[in-house]
Amino acid sequence: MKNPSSIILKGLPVSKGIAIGACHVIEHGNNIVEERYISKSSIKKEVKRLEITFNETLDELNIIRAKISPSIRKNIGLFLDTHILLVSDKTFLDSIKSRIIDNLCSSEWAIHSEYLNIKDSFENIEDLYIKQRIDDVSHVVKMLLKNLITKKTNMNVVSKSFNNVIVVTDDLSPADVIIAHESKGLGLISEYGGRSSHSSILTRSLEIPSIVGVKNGLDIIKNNDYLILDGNEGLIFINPEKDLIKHYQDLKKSSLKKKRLLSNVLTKKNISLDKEKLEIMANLELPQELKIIKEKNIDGIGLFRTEYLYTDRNDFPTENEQFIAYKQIVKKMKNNPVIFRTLDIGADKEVPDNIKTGSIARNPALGLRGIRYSLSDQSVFINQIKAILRASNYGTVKIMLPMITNFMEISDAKKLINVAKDKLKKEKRKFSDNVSVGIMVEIPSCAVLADRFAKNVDFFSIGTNDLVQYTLAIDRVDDEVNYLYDPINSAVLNLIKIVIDAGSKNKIPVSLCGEMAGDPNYTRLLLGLGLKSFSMHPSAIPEIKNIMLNSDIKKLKRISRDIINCDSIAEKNKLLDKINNI
Amino acid sequence: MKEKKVIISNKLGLHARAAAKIVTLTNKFQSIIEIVNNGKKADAKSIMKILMLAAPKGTEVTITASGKDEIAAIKSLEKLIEAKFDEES
Repeated sequence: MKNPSSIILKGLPVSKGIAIGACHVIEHGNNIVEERYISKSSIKKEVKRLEITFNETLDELNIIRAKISPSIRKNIGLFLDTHILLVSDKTFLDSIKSRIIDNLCSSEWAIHSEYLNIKDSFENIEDLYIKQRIDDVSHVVKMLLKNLITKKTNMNVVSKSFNNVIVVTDDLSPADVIIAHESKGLGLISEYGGRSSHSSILTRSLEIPSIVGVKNGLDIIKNNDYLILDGNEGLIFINPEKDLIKHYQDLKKSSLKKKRLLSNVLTKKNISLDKEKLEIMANLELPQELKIIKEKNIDGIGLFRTEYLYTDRNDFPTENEQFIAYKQIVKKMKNNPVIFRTLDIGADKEVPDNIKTGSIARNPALGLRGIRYSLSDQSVFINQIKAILRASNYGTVKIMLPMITNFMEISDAKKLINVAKDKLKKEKRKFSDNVSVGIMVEIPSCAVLADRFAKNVDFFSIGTNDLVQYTLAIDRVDDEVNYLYDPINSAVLNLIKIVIDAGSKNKIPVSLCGEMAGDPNYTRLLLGLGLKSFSMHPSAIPEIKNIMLNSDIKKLKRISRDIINCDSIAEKNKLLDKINNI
Repeated sequence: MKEKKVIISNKLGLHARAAAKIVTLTNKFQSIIEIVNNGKKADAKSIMKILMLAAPKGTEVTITASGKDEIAAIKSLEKLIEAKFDEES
């Protein structure tokens, strides 16, 4: 990329891929409401105008709701349900109407002043859960005002189409993502948002290249600007030069071509050149992603993240709600195992307000997260375990505990698992007796003593993202230090090796579910270290499997060891190059 | 008019989802249905009014219904609240 004179913005890449094209800016923002009196003679007309707006908004919400595919409707649809009920609320409409009739306010002004009135009442509410529902009211009010102000000729969101454009917005709503998917939008950019918000998860499961957290994006990007969105690196180029466009077009073409070429490996048996049986599993965040993995012929779900059930809401999912979601996945996977990771909230994962992981934790990565949170709020944990156990009736289920640092946490968690079992027995609910309990190995203390931990659990799964961060004491999202993030740092590789060896010595399965598992640069290195089971984002599967089928593991062992023992980064990269080209 | 005292016993009280369930139920009836908390009255067909009641767990509320189907309305609403809105399985 020579001399890019275009403006470059940086954000958090939440869904991979490249999008190139003109952009369409939508601002949800704050509408400024004009305080306008109407004449007595136009009261009727104004009330009619208000009613039409309410109906239109209701239609809009219902249409968006209907567009959500059934498998995710239950979770994504819930926030829409509250909005739908608010817009259909007769007393809400009536109070606004009386402001028009009694005070001769314009509809905009009437809605806005009623909103301020409601906001006042909500501010006096002590209950935090309910207090926060003012956000829903505010969202609905924004929609109503927008529909009042926009000309009725374009049917607003209902017929909104993001065909062939990159959408740039201040705050990406799940509805935006769904519309982008339905109307074949190219990509999504948002000023706000994090990796695990529902909108971001949706972009990944619908495979729309997306970047969020682009500060001041709307001040810099103007409607119809020509953009390159690099969802792999989190870069946005505004009105780039021809050379750069060409570079990205080529990149996009070659990745599409590769994807097509690789699709034929999916049906093949996963055996290396020297006849070692290998295992590929998928990491999932939403039940909806089952659709994507259907044709990928995988050996199971190596990591099912359960956080989506807990985020973007202010109350806890019930046991039943979780059970229904889990059962659906287990049933779909038939007899292939599904490994449920218990709630791992905290650090870089956004924390809903009902989960108290320490409000101003100085360093959330080292704070109350993962199993620590679960052991501190036991009823939440027991409810989740009960739901997972009940799902075990429908296939093969495993429980995986995140962020384990010591043996005590394992025995405490197991005690609670037994409490959950006793409760289920009392309730006469069925569950399988063979639900194994394993741990994520992602903290150095656990990796170092893997041989001893292996005697306490049924399986290991190495979480390299955190293992790298904790071993090297760097925060991956901190721009000042993230150059130090290095999965092939010798200390990290050494720990990975210890864990793999401890697993084989104690005859328990070891898999790796961090991002490293889906990175083609490291597949052979990990095979050489003795790893047999990889769990990754579904989109990475074809390429990784292709490498596995073309690897002779015997020949990789020595050079893998050389990489661990190598002190120079340059030399190490040369060795990595060598192992990838054997 | 029919009247009944019930205790809100689900974990989070009358939060958004519980309120949504009440409104969905009450709108099936013709009767005027109200929930009274500590002298504050709320139209049980309005999600906004129910939220503003802000009744946490343990609150005793009075539900009233008057109209042709008042008996059925009271019974169904009572059942919903007593079943903790089907939240805790």
